[in-house]
Amino acid sequence: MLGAAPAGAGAQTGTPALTAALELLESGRPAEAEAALRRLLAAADGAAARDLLGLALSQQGRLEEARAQFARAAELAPQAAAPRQHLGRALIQLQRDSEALTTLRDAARLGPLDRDLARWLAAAELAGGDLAAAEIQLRSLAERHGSVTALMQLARLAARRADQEAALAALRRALELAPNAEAPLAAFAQVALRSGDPVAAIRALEPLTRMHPAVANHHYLLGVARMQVGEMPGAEEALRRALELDSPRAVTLVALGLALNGQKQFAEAETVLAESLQLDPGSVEALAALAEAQEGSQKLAEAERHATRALALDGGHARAHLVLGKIRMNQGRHQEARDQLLEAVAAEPDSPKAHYQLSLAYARLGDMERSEKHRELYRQALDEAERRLAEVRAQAGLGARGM
Amino acid sequence: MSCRLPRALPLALLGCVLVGTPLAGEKAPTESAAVLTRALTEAERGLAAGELEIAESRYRTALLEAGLLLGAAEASLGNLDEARAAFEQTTRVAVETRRGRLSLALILIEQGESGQAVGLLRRVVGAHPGDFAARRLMARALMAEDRVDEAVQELAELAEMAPGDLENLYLLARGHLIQQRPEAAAADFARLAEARPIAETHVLIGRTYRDFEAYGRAREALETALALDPRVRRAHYYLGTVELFDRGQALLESAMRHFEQELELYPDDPLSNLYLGTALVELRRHEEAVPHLELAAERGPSPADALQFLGRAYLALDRPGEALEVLRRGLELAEASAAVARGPADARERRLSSLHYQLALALRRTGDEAGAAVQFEAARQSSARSTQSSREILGRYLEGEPEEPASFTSSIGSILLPGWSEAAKRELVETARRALVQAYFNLAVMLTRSERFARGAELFEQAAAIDPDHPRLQYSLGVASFNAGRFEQATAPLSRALADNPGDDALRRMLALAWLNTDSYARAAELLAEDDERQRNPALQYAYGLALVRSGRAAEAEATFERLLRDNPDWAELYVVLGQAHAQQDDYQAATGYLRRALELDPGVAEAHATLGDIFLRQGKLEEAERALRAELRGHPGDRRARYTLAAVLELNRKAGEALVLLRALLRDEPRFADARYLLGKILLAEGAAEEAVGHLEAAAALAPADANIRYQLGQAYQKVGEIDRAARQFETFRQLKRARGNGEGP
Repeated sequence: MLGAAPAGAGAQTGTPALTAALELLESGRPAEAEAALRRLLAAADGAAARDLLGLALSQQGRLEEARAQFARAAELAPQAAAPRQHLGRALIQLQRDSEALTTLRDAARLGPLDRDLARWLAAAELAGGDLAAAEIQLRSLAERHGSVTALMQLARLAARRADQEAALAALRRALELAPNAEAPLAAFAQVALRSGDPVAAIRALEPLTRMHPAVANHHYLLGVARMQVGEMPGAEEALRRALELDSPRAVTLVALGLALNGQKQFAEAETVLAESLQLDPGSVEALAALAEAQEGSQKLAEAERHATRALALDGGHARAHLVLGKIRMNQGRHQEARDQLLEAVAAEPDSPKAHYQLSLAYARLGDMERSEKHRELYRQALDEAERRLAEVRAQAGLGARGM
Repeated sequence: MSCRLPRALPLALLGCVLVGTPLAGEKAPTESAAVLTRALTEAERGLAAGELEIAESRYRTALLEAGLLLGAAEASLGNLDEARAAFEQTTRVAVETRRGRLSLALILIEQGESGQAVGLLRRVVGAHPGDFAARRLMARALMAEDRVDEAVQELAELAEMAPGDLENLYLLARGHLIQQRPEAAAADFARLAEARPIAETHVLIGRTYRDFEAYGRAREALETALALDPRVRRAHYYLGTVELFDRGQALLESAMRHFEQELELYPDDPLSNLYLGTALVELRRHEEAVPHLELAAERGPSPADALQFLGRAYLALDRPGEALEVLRRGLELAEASAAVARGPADARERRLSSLHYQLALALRRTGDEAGAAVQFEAARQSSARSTQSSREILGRYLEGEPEEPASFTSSIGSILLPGWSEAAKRELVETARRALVQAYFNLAVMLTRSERFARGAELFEQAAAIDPDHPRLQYSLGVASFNAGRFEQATAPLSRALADNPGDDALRRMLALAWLNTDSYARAAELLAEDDERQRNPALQYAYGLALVRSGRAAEAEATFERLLRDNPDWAELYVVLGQAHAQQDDYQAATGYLRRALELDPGVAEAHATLGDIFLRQGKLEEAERALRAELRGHPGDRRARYTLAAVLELNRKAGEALVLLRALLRDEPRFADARYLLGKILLAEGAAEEAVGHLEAAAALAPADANIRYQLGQAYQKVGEIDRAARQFETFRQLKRARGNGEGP
């Protein structure tokens, strides 16, 4: 491959002799091309001839000589991109990375780089920590060459600076170009989950779990996404599959415990969550979920103990406050319940359960106005949850589960 | 009114639509083949450009398109199980599942599993309520399930969605006939006739009415067809069958006139020849019947019937030799078709009985009484299996038999790849299979190159299931399985690859190691015995020695190890193994000697420092232990046992802070490491972090419930956080565990 077109500057451009040399090169006869070019250069120096000579030498594996010719061509035609790209490529092959980096930066200023060079420069800039410079090359690769690899990297960079929109846009484009590829689908699902769009995540995860049924993480993420839209049986199914496929991970067990709590299967949830705490004893999520399961089983002392431990580790944990609030309600300590539930609502304003319990607490305290307000907020939150569940069901056919 | 013929859908006149055409495919087979070729080309291009995601995606597109083509080709060859498997597979290879699911539903309906088809189609329709083709197929599946009302409801909704869709309108009319709503059906047919005001439409309508025994309406429609075009095909034929089905023998003459009229227009029409021939036989006009039946036997869709009546005619004309020949052929065909037929069993038995009976008569006529007796008995048995009288009217006799497979049935063969020759379909099967193998193989290679060996092996297995002889496939599958640690699965493909290439020493070694890892030591020893490389490669020699020991050839093994030490006095790893063996037997002096020798030979050899550290710890030499373990971790920072042992040594050396850091990092990597969890809890407790210690010690107790020390520490931790009852329970458990181990007091 000759790469970028030979240097355009110089008096020799387009001369029959140069065209003939180029044809020799393209037909794989570099030694003959070299001889012709040297004759030409003996008559008159020129950037295009030097550049072609560099290519002829490069084809013969004489990289150092090629480098010298490219460098001379670049001197003769300082505004021509091609000799610099060729020089950059030769320097890479000679493993003179630092010089290659400088040369390719110069070349990139003159025009878009060839695919291999843009990729090399992007990787070098990334390694050097210059993310903006890397991004320029990645965008060029994505736009000029339809590079999915570049789009994936752009998405990673966007996610790193917490720009989920940009990450999703890059991944959507990647999926247009490679709709069946695992990596963009998985990345899309993860970013969609992070940006609070579990429905979009499910759209990517259901095909992923069909195409790659042995990958535990896809099932785990599908379980989490289904849980987020309130599709608890589907979540449980996916999470159990994840656990079958891989050695248990604490996060998977916590998710399964939450899915079981969501279906009021508290005894089983307690077992699962206790196992998760063996793996990660300091997990606030696991402690709070365990407290929820125990509260559901009316093991109030245990539940209080675990909720308190969760709050000792994270004072603003919504689920732990909710559990404590419910326990206090159960104990008839309505003011304390209200305070806990206010904390729960403050931490998670969309939680239907917290609003519902708070409306009850206010009612018991005789504050009917606030009770009604939270009842209304409960209805709104519930409607929103049902809307999302309906969306998932519609997209997946009759249920949220794929084939 | 009831439906007298199978609920076949004569769609051909309206234009069939299924896989390969718009219903399931939205791509004609040729177009699908083009997509397949393009996908494979783009995949190769993606690979060359380093765009692995594009390559992967295109290979998966290829799997989808090839699977759809394979399914269509297999189905059209009548291989429904293979088609089903191919279509099922398409739902697991790409994001798109719709076409595969629709095609699969079609096969399920054909296989009589329409309930499953309904479930499958509900997924498609639920996700895309406007998917016309899916909903129409759903209506068909519902109809096949005898859920007629639901089917008609679906078709009626579709008719509103697309009033101009004539196929749907026709299906709706049939649905109304099944519901016994002839007026509604008549309205549908009227719309159909208005939309396509040609004679053929009325022929179709007439035939449909005939199928539902609405003979008056059938006559009316067929006569309308003839009024529009007196030469229209099949109008007279259907009128003839209407006369037969309606009134039987009473209208035989009238029926014959219609068949004759049809034959005046289309003299070679096999069905009209068959019906006319059989009618002539019934009327004992055998001489006239013969040419019609001969033509029907040669070209017709039901040659067994034609041969049976032809045999009768020959017998009546005193031509027993010819009768014998055609009846034998007829019997052969009838038995073959009975073995695979799905139509009413009675009709098949009656035909067999009659053929046996006629054959018996022919044999008797030729003087073969014994042969005749056999045939009479066979006729009696077939007749007994039939629940109906063999003396049935002519029209009923042919009931349940195919009439015009090419045009009037919905069999998969007629609707998939219409117009393709048998050879072309077989070629398509091969093309699709080759594409599948190529795509699976290349996807597997991509996975193994990224060191995802287990998943790569699975895809190699998919390729091997299609073509186990594909070049390099068994080798690749074996290597991928081996690298994935799936030694059991590796042995078969590696054995096969080695059989193909017995001179491949590397392959032989890999197979030997696979056998070694599956405890098949004798096989491993056998393969390694003649390996010359063993003399130069101590690891192989070691493996050979191990295989000998484990396969009961200890004496030979001893010699091997002696030779190993003699021939490889500088082999550090060997000394480490020997050191560990002696340490296990508490022979610390010998162990230390071997380990120091190993380190002299290779200061970076794995596990030598760690084993020394362990020995020093057991001897209470904490400073030396710490130094040794740190030395191990400098060379091998991931060694979990060394990390834990160093933490234990640090704790004993009163360096709790560093031990905590070490343990937290270790537990991030190995959350189920009970000893490490316990040690972390113990140190935290000692450092005053009792709340945090409780969590870790509870976890440790759950991971190792019979470990008394953990219970003791947990009891201490509960005491510290004021949970006295819990503490008491843990101390009690501690005492029980100690007692059970015959040891009186605390740690």
